[in-house]
Amino acid sequence: MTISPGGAERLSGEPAHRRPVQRGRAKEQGGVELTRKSILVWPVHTFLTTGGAPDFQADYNYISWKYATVLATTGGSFGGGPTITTSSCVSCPPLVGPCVAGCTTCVIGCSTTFGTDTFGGSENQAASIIGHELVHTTGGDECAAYTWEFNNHAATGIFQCDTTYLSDVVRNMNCKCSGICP
Amino acid sequence: MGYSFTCCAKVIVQIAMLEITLNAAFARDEARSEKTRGPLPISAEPVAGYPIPLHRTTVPWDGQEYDIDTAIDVLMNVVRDPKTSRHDRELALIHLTMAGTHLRGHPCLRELEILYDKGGELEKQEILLCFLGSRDPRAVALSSRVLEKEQDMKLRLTATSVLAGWNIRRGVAELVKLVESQESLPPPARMPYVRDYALESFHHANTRKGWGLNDEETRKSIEDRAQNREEFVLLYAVEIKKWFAENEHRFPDWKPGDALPEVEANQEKPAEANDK
Repeated sequence: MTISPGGAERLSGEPAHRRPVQRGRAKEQGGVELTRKSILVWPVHTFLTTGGAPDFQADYNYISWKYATVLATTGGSFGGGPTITTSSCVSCPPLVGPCVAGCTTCVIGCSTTFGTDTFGGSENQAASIIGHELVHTTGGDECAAYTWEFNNHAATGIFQCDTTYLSDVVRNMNCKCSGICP
Repeated sequence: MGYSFTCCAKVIVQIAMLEITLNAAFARDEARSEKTRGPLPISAEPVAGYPIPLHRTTVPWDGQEYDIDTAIDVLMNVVRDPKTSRHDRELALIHLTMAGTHLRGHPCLRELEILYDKGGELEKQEILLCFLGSRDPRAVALSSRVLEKEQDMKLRLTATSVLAGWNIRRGVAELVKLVESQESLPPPARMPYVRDYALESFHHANTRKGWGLNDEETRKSIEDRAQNREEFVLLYAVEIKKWFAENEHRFPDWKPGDALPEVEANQEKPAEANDK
């Protein structure tokens, strides 16, 4: 699936059945409420499905549609995929063991796999993970990928709603870019 | 006679040369094994030759980019202001972690130590990360206290990593125990399992601190035996435990009240961003 910048105009209108179900707390600056950039949907799949098994492919399509502009800023695209597994997380060689929400390997071309954990949190988190993996498809290393997440916080709305997730991103950025690793 | 004398002399010289070469090789091996098998110091510094990425020279906050020393002041003002909301204090602390070694010897660490006891889970986590990045020896005392008191797994994981990063035996022992953990972490977490964080942390510390477990060889030795990822991780954990049993004595056994390396203010200038 290729995410094109052409999806920008679609961001202004949401289908009625995809209206937000929960809103994050507003952030104020100088007594003025900042424009809300994010909408918490927890979890995404319960919002999109009416009973039965969660449809993670639908979740992916929805998030990549909604965040097309943000994700397109990475300049990458997923070639021939990505694959979405039914496992909660995926292993990511060459690391030993770690099971992560999403992984891109670029040994021969680049292939990306997402585990269902990608969609288990907020939309912001899912968009952030998808954007992170997109950075890898353009050859960006972990430092570049986490820096992208950090620099695009305004667009993905992490600051306003997902402080814990932001903390995770900064922790990883400190580690991969500055060698400050827990 | 002349010929056989020359011949004998040549043989003697060759033997002597061989002995010198062997002795030099032996000395090199000894030095190498001393590095990977000798006692380790209480230190957060990486092993010589470890590539250190460029450190940040600025920290962003509220739409502006500050040089690190100014950023520390600005962020600490937010942190210590009683009118600051918990959310904003968390954000300020997250940004403060980017100051890294500029926090070493900084008076704000004392303030953060006091704030730790009053803070929520995320504030505590970020304060620990500030101490981790600072490479200030007070990180050892705080992390040790965290392991004594806290039950929260994220905090315990960070404190464990800090202690292991200082080569403290208790930290490494705890880390080795956690690579077998079956616990998972609440979302959001990029890696949902405790053991994955522990494995990653072990990998970082092992290479950064020169502990001596050969990752590549270990991986190759278990690759054929593992049928799947789960088995691979279990076998890897066994290898780590085996390695620690053989190397435990190399790690200093620091206890609360024991002396720590002297606190030195960070001497790094912004121009010397790369602390190699």
